[in-house]
Amino acid sequence: MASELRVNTLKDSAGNNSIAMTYVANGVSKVWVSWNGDDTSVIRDSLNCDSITDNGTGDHRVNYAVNFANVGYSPQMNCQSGDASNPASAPMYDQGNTLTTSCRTYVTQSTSNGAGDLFDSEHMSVTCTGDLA
Amino acid sequence: MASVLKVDEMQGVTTADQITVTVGSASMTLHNGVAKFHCSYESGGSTGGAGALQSGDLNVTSVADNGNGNFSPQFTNNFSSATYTVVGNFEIGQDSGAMRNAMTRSRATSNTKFLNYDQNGGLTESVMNHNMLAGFGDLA
Repeated sequence: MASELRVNTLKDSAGNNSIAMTYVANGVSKVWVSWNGDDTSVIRDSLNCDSITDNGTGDHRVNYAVNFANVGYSPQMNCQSGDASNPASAPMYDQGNTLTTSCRTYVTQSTSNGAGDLFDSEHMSVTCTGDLA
Repeated sequence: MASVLKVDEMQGVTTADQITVTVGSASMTLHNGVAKFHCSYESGGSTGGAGALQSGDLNVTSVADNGNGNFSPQFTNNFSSATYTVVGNFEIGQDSGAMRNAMTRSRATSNTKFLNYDQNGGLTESVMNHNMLAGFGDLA
């Protein structure tokens, strides 16, 4: 039978390492996903990610299964470089593209002339913390 | 009335790792959302040398220094597969000057490689004080 425990604070049995339930519920990641930017059909592993939309080279949207309550949540992202001598940059696309339902990522890789070309990284990662709807 | 629960370990009744927490109107399995490792370590080596772990890390036993701007945090408990999610950031260590960048290079169940770059794509660690990483997924 399912059971429910309602508490405000968790501590270890010695009474140390106290954490309020608000940090447990609010502090855990609500979304994390690892996918192949070369092939958006390959989601390697995920939590609360419904799908990845491929908007073109280096341009992806992470779509959530359960939406956020507002757009004030915090997305973080990272990508894997294509090779050791050509670093990539992986920011969020812009604030207007951080929605309750999804966020948009944008990856460029530097070239020998210092320019940045859009780039599909083999290993893309996004995590999001905040309040779900 | 405020309540405090004192325990060393929590397990789900039906399945050990299935403990549900309510967040907003949604419910989620607690262990899925918890970071399985996080760490902050020296890159430039100003305190403790390059690769020196800062206090407060979770599930990281050491950081291998693979060379200039090239580090691999080693996990105490490994991930079940190399499909886990890693995010990372760094302190640029300067108020002005050239752009820097940092990102993962590879990941294994036992470690992940994180590189620091200068503006020309060369590996660097001279001005980056700290790298900060976190990972999510299932442990072995």
